[in-house]
Formats: sequence, structure tokens, C-alpha cells
Amino acid sequence: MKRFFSIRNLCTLLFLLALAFFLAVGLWPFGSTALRGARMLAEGGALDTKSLESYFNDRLSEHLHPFITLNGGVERVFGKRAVNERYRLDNGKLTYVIPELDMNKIAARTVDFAHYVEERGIPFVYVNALFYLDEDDKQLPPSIEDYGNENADRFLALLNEAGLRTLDLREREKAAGVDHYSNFFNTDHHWTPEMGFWAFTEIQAYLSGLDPSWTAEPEISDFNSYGVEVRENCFLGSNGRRVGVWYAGKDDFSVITPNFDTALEVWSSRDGCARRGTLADCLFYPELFDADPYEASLYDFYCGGDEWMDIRNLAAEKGLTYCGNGKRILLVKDSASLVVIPWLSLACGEIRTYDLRFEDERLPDLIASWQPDLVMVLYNPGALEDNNWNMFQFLR
Amino acid sequence: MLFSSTIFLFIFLPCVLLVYYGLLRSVRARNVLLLIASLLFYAWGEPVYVFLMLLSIAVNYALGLAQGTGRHKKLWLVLTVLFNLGILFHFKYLGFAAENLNALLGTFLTVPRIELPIGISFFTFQAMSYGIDVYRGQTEVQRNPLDLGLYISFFPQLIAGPIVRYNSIAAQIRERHVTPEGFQEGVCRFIRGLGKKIILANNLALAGETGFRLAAGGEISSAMAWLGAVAYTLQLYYDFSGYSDMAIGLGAMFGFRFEENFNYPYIARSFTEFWNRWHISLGRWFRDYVYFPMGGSRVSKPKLLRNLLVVWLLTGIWHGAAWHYIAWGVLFGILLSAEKLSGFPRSCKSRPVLWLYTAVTLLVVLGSMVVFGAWNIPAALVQLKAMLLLSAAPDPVAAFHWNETRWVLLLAAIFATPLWPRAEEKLPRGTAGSLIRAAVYTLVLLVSVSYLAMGAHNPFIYFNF
Repeated sequence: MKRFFSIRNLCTLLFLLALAFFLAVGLWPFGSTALRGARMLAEGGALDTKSLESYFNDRLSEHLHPFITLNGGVERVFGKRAVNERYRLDNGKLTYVIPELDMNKIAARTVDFAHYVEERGIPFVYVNALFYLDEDDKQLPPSIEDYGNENADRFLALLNEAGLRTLDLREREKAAGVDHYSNFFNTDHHWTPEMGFWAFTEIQAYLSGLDPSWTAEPEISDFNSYGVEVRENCFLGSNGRRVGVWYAGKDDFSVITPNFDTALEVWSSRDGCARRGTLADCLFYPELFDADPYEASLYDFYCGGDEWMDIRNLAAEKGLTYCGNGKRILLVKDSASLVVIPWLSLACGEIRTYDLRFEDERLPDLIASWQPDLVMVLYNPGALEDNNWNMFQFLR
Repeated sequence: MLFSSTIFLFIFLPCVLLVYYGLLRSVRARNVLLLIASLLFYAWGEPVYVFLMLLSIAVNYALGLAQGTGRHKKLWLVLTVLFNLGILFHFKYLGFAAENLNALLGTFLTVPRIELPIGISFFTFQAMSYGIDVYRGQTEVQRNPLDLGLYISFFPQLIAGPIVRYNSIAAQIRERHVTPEGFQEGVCRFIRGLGKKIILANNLALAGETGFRLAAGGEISSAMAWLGAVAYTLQLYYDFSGYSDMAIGLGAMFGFRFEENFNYPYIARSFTEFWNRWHISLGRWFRDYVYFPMGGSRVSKPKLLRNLLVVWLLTGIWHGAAWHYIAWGVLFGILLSAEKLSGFPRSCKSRPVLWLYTAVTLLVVLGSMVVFGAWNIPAALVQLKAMLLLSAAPDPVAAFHWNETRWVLLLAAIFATPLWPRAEEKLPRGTAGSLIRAAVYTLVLLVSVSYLAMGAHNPFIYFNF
């Protein structure tokens, strides 16, 4: 035994230690995988070992974050621009790519949905959020193609042909001369909170242009009415989590807080209970700053995530200075909206948010019973995928 | 199950080692454990075909016993060969044969689509080796079905070799000893193989695949054709030799010594030398069981030519049921025959000529790998033509893949020479050397596992053979 535990056998000792660690880490996910396999057999099906292995890998990878970090470091040393289906742009930011997709089906469904809404006397607006890649300057590695913007162009053209009201924030961005890439995270496909605020001001201006009754106090749309605290190197976005922090680095994250009094009441399916208080009390989730960046997304700091929310602005009830326009909006949205909703909620009376990834069957009932002043759909071009979204499938 | 999978590294291997060394003492009990583990290993990837494996074990065991009676030995041998080749033909070549008969004779035979059991070419060749060795009296009949089962199904070499001949391992199944040094050698060999497969081969795969895909589409630039060919040539080597290293290493951890399967083939100075260094166990199998029985090289020149061409035709066919594998085998048959009949380069004394011939060997091997890996022969010709035309037209696809693989290509080219073992030999003896060695191997293990954590796609190329 003494002969075995000697420095000459260090490779063996380290290997056995590594195997012991692997076994300790792997046993728990393997247990749940074995149970799943037993269920497969009990239900009379064949043992699909490929799907079991994939299930095991998914469970196991939750315990292997240091290895993902290490791998990112290795890939960085190799100078690779394509890692785990993520691509490094010329400017160093990370993205995934979207193939060319048929827009006809989801455009037809959206038109049906808009007609369903308008038949009930409710205005409908489709807002096209900014996409991660600038259509005129994609910065992708050679030979890598992305069609996110092109898909959105065709989708919007189909909606416009059908006479729907659309707001393309990409056009507004070009007109405003905004630097596109500086307003997106390096490690995440989302826009920054500052850009989310900018999008809110554009939406607010658009709605006021359509109908003056949508006008709210200009201070709510003035960025100078807010304080900004920039937390440095604290955010690892979804693309960064795929390739590890040594490859991706980390982003700064801004906390934007109104300098004026606010009062909201928020019900969200994430919390399962009501929150009452200021905008920060109700819509900020500061505990995410302390969470494991591989486990939780700091992007959810605003609104807590994509689950549905009912946000009531109590400013008028409380007699505050800035009360908004009192309108009620049903917002059908993707995650791009999380950094738009807080400011929009200050400018109107009530917002109910709806994410089609979680549920869609209650949507027609909600429209009929709640009768909002506006149904707004806000999607980014990356979300225009039929399989992902089942966009308004319930109408067909 | 793959060696380079999380389920193997995180569950299977630690559990088998733990039970093997922690709970069992006798060789018999350990053999039973290894047999059960091997069947589980195979069943994980091929739940249905494990019954084929069991059938193969049972039939080869029974035919071995029949040979042991001493009567009708030749008949039992013929049945052994027919049974094993029959399995192989049914699963691997039936569809190909029907397809070509239909094309050639205008018949309308149904072309079956049969899923290939992984590693079938390896375990059927091993089973045949047992029957032939018993017939030749080179080994005794195995009367313990579990031990024969272990020989045919032993998981380290079960699905991608090396092809272990029965007479080289029969004694080790009965009795074997593991020393700390032997175990450590196994550990290092396993980690080396894992690194070869995961860090080098997998990282080269995309460039090789892209080259073949573009060539199959009929349009490929010179740059991409070359890059794809080089990447695939190195990928194939690291994929297969990495698997062999892992198999040999795992065998050593359980006290087995397997034959070497690769010996730096890309430094070969002739085609004959290349094949003495590439897939050595397959070459020896064909030499011992096909080439020598046909008379080997101690026959007239026409017969020698016939013997060589038959062996290389069979080598090509063994690799797959497709014409490009057959062409690849025949190509090497012609090249090796030319060397054998001419005596070149053995008879050549001129160093510049020998250097030139070494370069030509490497280039032809590179071209042969294009034939081997291409989707079909026309696609291979498209890629070879693009390589020969040497157009300097810029190609963004090639630029992208060059950026992605250049450092891995460099590492792969360096480690395709015997640099690693020489560097290990130069390590200082004692504590410092052990620490450096342990640090390097630990790093390779951790980086390899990091790729597994990323869920990298990593099928072994040789599973299909």
C-alpha cells in the first residue's frame, strides 16, 4: 500500500481522485436518469438510452460550471470564433445565428390575432424590437450567415400589407443615429436597460402620435429624471453562459431608478403574490446580483423574468406628481420587453404582460373580459420562429 | 457507450474500478464483473444488438467446443468462419450487395436498410481469430463460456479495436497481475487517448466535414479542399489512435496488455512503412489469417501480386460497404505491390530521393484519406481536383475554418511525431519529473472533461467500421 501511495504514482492518485469526484458529482443526476429509465420501461416503452444520456448530461452540466469556464479559456487560447454554437463578432460581442425562415404562417396568425382584437374595438400595434445584429454591419465571422433582420423585414412587410399598425424600432434607431452595438450586452443577446428605456420613449412617442390621450407627463420619458447606477463586471449573459466566463468576459449592468415618487401594485406568476410599493420595490429583483451567474440571469433584474405580470400604477390614487395617462395595455411580448415594461408601467394605468412561451389559451378570454385600451405585441426579430413561439396558434 | 462521454467517465468507469479493486479478489470473479460490465457497456449504445453479441458468444463457444472433440475440425472451422462472416455480411454488406446487383444485373432485389451494430467488424474478427487459433492448435479450446464471452465482448476494445487475437490474450484472461506502475501507465495512456480524441480530433472535425460536404455539392475552393483534407487526415488519426490509446490504457488498468495499434504513421517513409504503423492490429490480422495462408510473399511474383491485391481489397471492404472504401483499399494494394515488387525505396541509398519519397508518401496518404472520408468517389474526385488545381482565389469559408483550426492543426501536426514520448523521456527522474508529468496529464484530463461539459458532439469515426 505504501508503495502505491508514492509520488511516483501521482498520476494514478490524481486520476483516482478525479474519478471519485466525477462519481460524487454524477451519482445524483444518474439517480434521476435511472428513475426516468425505469419509468420508460414501466410504461411499456423501449429503453431509449440516447435520450437518457442526453437527460443525464443536462442534469450533470448544472454541476460542471468550472469546466465550462475552463473550456472557454482553452477556446480563447485557440483563437476560435465559433464555440458551442455561439459566434464572436468582429467587435468581440457574442451571438447565435438565425436561419432564413418562412414568415408567411406566423404573419398570417398575427394578422388573424390583430383582427380578433380590432373586431372588439381595441387598437392593435406590433412593435419590432431591435435585433442583436445591425442589418448593415453584422460583424459576423466570414461565411457565417444570419437572417434575423431579413426575416423581420419580410414579416413586417406582410403585416403592413395586411394594414396592421407597426412600429419598427430599427428605423427609429437609424434615424436617431444611435450606436447600435454599444447598446447591446457583450455576453447576452438582449439590449441594455438604457436601450430599453430608449425603446420605451419611442413607443410612448408613437402612441401619443396616434392618439393624444396616450400622452403622459414628459418627465416620465426623460432619462434625466432617473438615476443610473452602473454595476461593473457582474453580468454573464445567456451567450456567455454557453461559452464560459473566461471566453466571454462579463458585462456591466445598469440599475435605472426614477428620481420621482412612484407607486405600483404588481401581481406576477413568478412571485405568486402581490408586491406594493415603489417601482424598485415592485419590479426590481436585486437578489440576482448575488446569484450564481450560470444559474440565474441578471437580465431578469427588471421584472424578474418572463412570466405574466399584472402591473397597476397607483400614482393617481396616491396623489403623486406623475400619474401617467391611465391607459390599460395588454402586452404580448418576449424577453426584450423586460427592460421596457418598468418605464411603460409608469406612463400608463395598468399593464398585463403575456408571454406565449408560457401560455396562450387564456389570451382570448382575457381580451374579451378585460377590454384593454391597446393590445401591443413586442417581439425582437430573433423570436420570429414558429416552433419556438406557437405564435397565436390558438386562433387557428 | 463512448469512452469520451460523461456517462462513461462519471459513472461507468469509477463504478467498475471500484467494484473490481474494492470488492473482488479472484480473477474468476473479476472476469465475471468485466463480462457483465462489457455487456452493459454495449447494451447502453445498442440495447437490441446486445442479443446479437450474446448469440455470437454462444455460437463461437459451441463451435470451439465442437473443434475440441477433435473430429471434423475443418468443418467446424468453416462453420465458424461462415457464421461470423454471415453476421457481418447481413448487417454490413447485404444492402450494398443488393443495390449493386440491381444496378449491374437490372434485378429488383429489395435493398434492406439495416442499422449497423457498432463495432461489428471488430468483434466478429476477434471471434474468428478464436476459431482459427483453436483449429491451428495455437491455443486451447476455451471451456468456460464466460471467459470466451469476456474475450469477444471486453469493453475497452469491443467497438473500435485494437483487434485482439485470441492467442495473444488467452493467458491473460486466466491470470494477470496489476502493478502500480502498470496501472499508472494505463492511466496515462487513457488520458492521452482522451485528449487526442476530444481536444484534437473533435476540434478538427468541422473543417474536414465542411470540405467533404462542399465537395459533395460539386464546388470547393483549393484552400478549403486542402484545409479539409489535412484536417480530416489528422482527425482520423487522432480519433482512431486516441480510441486505441484509451482501449490499451483501460486494458492496462485491469491488468491486460493489448497490442499496439498505431506508431506515428504520418512519419512513414514509404507506403509499406505507413501500413506497419497504421491500424497495426488489422494489418496483422489479415497477415496471419489471410496473407500467410495464401502463401504470403514466398510465392511467384504473379501470386504475390494476387495475394497483396486480395488482402488490400478485403481491407478496403472491411472498412465499409461503399465503393470509395474499396477504391481506397485497392489504391494501397497497388502502391504496396509496387513497392514490394520493385524493392523501392528499400534499395535506394540516395538521401534526397528518400526525402522526396517520404514527402510523396505523405501527400499520397493525404489524398487517400480524401477518398476514404469523402461521401462518394465523384465527391472525392472533386476535392482532389480542387487540391491539384491550386487556385489562390479567396474563400471566406476556408478563412473561417482556418481561423478556427489553425492552432489545433499546429498541435496536431506536432503530436503526430514522436515528440511527446521523447519529451516524457527527457523529464527529470524523481519528484520533479513526477510532478510535471502529473500536472500535464491532469491538465489534459480537465480540459478534455471541459469539452464534455460543453456537450460537444463527438462520435467516433471507427464505430462505423
